[in-house]
Formats: sequence, structure tokens, C-alpha cells
Amino acid sequence: MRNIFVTILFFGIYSGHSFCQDSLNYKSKWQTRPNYGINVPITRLLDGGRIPDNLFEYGDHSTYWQVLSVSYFFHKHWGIAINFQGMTGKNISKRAEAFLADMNSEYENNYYVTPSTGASYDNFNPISGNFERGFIGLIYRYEKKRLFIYPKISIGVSSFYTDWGKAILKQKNSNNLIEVSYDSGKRPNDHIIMAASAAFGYKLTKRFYLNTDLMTSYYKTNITFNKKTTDLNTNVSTSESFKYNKKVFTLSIGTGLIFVIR
Amino acid sequence: MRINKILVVLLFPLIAEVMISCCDCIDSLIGHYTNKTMIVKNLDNSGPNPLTTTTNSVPKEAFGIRVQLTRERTACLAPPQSFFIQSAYATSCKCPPPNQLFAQDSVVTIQIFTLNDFDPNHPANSDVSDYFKVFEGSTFSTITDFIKKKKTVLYSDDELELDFDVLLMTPPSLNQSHKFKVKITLSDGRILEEMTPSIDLI
Repeated sequence: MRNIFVTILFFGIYSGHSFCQDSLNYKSKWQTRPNYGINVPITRLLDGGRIPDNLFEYGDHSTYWQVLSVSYFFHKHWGIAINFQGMTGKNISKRAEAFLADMNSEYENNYYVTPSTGASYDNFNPISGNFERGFIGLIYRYEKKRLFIYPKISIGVSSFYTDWGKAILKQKNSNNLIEVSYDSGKRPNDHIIMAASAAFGYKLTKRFYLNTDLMTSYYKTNITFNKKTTDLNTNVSTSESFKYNKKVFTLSIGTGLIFVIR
Repeated sequence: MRINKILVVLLFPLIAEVMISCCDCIDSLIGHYTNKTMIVKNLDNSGPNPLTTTTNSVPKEAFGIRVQLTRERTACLAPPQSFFIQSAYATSCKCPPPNQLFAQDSVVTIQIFTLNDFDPNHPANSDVSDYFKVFEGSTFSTITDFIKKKKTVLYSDDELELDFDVLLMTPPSLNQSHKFKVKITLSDGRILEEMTPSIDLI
């Protein structure tokens, strides 16, 4: 608590001092914007309850951090911005565990189940997280002495991995052996994403702003998991499809800082 | 000029051996083995894995036979010696495996006969090999394919004991006591035969 108070006091004093200097309203050309926030699904990609849900390195509810964000204003009001966000969801690291549990509960009444999966997502990357998205956009700025708002429209790529999962099912009281496998046929899944956002906030100093970011984004997925059930004695297989053709709308709310580089 | 060419041709084997000989290889032990004896046991595969059983009954959909084939080492041969040079003069190492055991005789066929009436088409003493499949890990293969793909060169004495499970994939239509004979024909004409204990397939 004491640290927070000291920090606020520091920014207050520093901002008061800075505003004695000339304001940089509409004068800055380059800005960088580290940011941290949450993604709240308006529509979901994962329904919950379907076994292949556990094979996505993705979460509808997630947190993001903006590791790269640079804006360049070529005009008093207009500029371009690029940014890259790493994301993670709270259950992603438990996907493999959940897949094994789901396969067991689905088949354990009649079979001895030996499941395995490639969806082991415990190798967390602090830069890109578990999944990521990147944007390039057109940004508009409207600034007052201390307040500002930067609306932006962007297009980019949202990317995440899907993996395989399978189980060997040994039928109880029988020699029958079955293999059940799930596979989407491709690991990286890239989608064109469109977003509209607005950053608004308060200028603490001439070069240092506190901001809040609101963004809505949209992308469409076309992922099909194929469930293949093979009798290992006869090698006869049957297939079933699990489609993830979704229009994914997400609301992102974040907070961060804006540094005026020059 | 011609003498140079002749010298090169003559020296080529020596140069080749210097290049491929090994500096610090262990002398490999080369031997032979022969298929000697066989033991067969009833299997109960009603649990997660097939287990040998001495009980009187097994579910007929979960029956199998474990075949334990014992092979014996027959003779050791001296390791091959370099013709030209000592290995200490070599420039690279391509060591052979330390142990190599070659088959003196090999398995030609494995047949399983029912000694009791199995179903209307298979009375006692019929060949029911096609009703069984060899089970390894999580794969099945026909007995014929199993024989074809089984390697005959062994690299360790531990491999002399060969155990494999044949599982009954088509259960009998008759719920009664069953007894099977496993017959292995070897390439030198010998035949190994063993019978399973009687068991009720229910």
C-alpha cells in the first residue's frame, strides 16, 4: 500500500513538473504502448464438454500482454500502429490432464483406457504465451491538455495450436482392442482477425500516459477434428467429425502505459 | 604410368581397410543358436493385460496362449581378423555389434490345433491357427506375418528366450472344455509340439 502511495505521489510530482514544459499535443510521432488485459468472449470457440476441446492451445477466457506496440503518426491526427500480443488461459496448462480424464470417463465402464496426447502445454513462453495475435492498424488521435482518445481499426492474424490425442481401449473380458484418435490434421491454425479499438486515458507527463484499451475483435475458424475409431484386430475404421466453424467475437479490456518516444 | 595404376589397384583394399577399421572396438563374439524347447500356457486376457492362468475357466472372448520358445547357443566363432593391418592403425571406427547370434534353424510354421470340437466347422484335431492372432504391445498380426517379420539375428543372450502371446480372436461356439496343441515346424525338419492344459471357455 505504501509503495502504491509513493508511486502515485511520484507520478503526481513528476507530471506537475513536466506540464510546466511545452505539451506534446499532436506533436509526437512515435509512441510505444505496453499493455495488459483480459479477453472476454462474446461468442465462444470452445463449447465445453466436447473431448477435442482439450486439444486446443487456446482459451476463450484469457489474459493478454502487449509485448510489442509501436505507433507512428504521419499526420496531426492519423497514424499507423502495429502490435503483438501474447495470451494465455488459466486451464491451458491442464489440457493434457483434462483429455486423459475425459477419455477415461467416456470409456472406462467397458474398457481399460490408455490415453496419450500431444496437448502438453506446460512450456509457457513469457513473450508469446500459449497463443498470440498481431495487428496492423490505422489510428486516429484526439488529444486535450491531459486527456486523449485514440480510436483504431486493425487487421491481423490470430494464431494458436491444435494437437492430436488418442487412446488404446482394451475391452474388459475380451481380447478386443480399439484405438480412438482425434486429429485436426494441422497444428498451427492462423486466422485473419479484424478489430476496432479505442485507447483513452490521462497524460501523467509530457511523455508518459496512463491508458485504458477497449477492443472488439472478430475472426472465423474452420477447424475440423476427425475422430477415428479403429478395431486393431480387423483394422476396420469408422470416422466422425467435430466441427469448429465459429465466428469468434471477443471483447478485450486492458490497461497500460504509453511512452512518447519522440 | 601403367605401374602406378597397377599399384593403386593393388593397394586399394589396404587403403579401404585402413579407412574403415576400428581403433578401439571390442572383439565381437559371433555365434549360432538353435530352437530347442517350447512351453505353452493358458492366458486370461480379461484384465488390462494377458496373464498366464492355471484356473479351470476363462471367458472365451479373452482366451489366449503364451508360447515360450527357448533357444540355445550352439557354438562361438572366432571374431574376424583384419587381413592387412592391426586396428590400431586405423583412421575411423565402424565397430560391429559386440554379440551376434545367427540362427542355425528358423521357425517355418506355427500351427494351433484344437483337440476338442471347437465349432461345427472345426471338429477335434482341426487347425484353428487362423482364429488366433499374435499380440505384441498394442498390435495384432497374423501368425504368418509374425514369423516373417521376426528377426533371426540376435544381439544378446537375453533374446534367446522368446515369449509371445497368441490370442483367440474368434471364440468357440461351444461352451465347454478346450485343449489346444501348438506345433512349430523348424527349417531343419524338427517339430516342437506342446499342449495347453484343459480349460473351460465360458
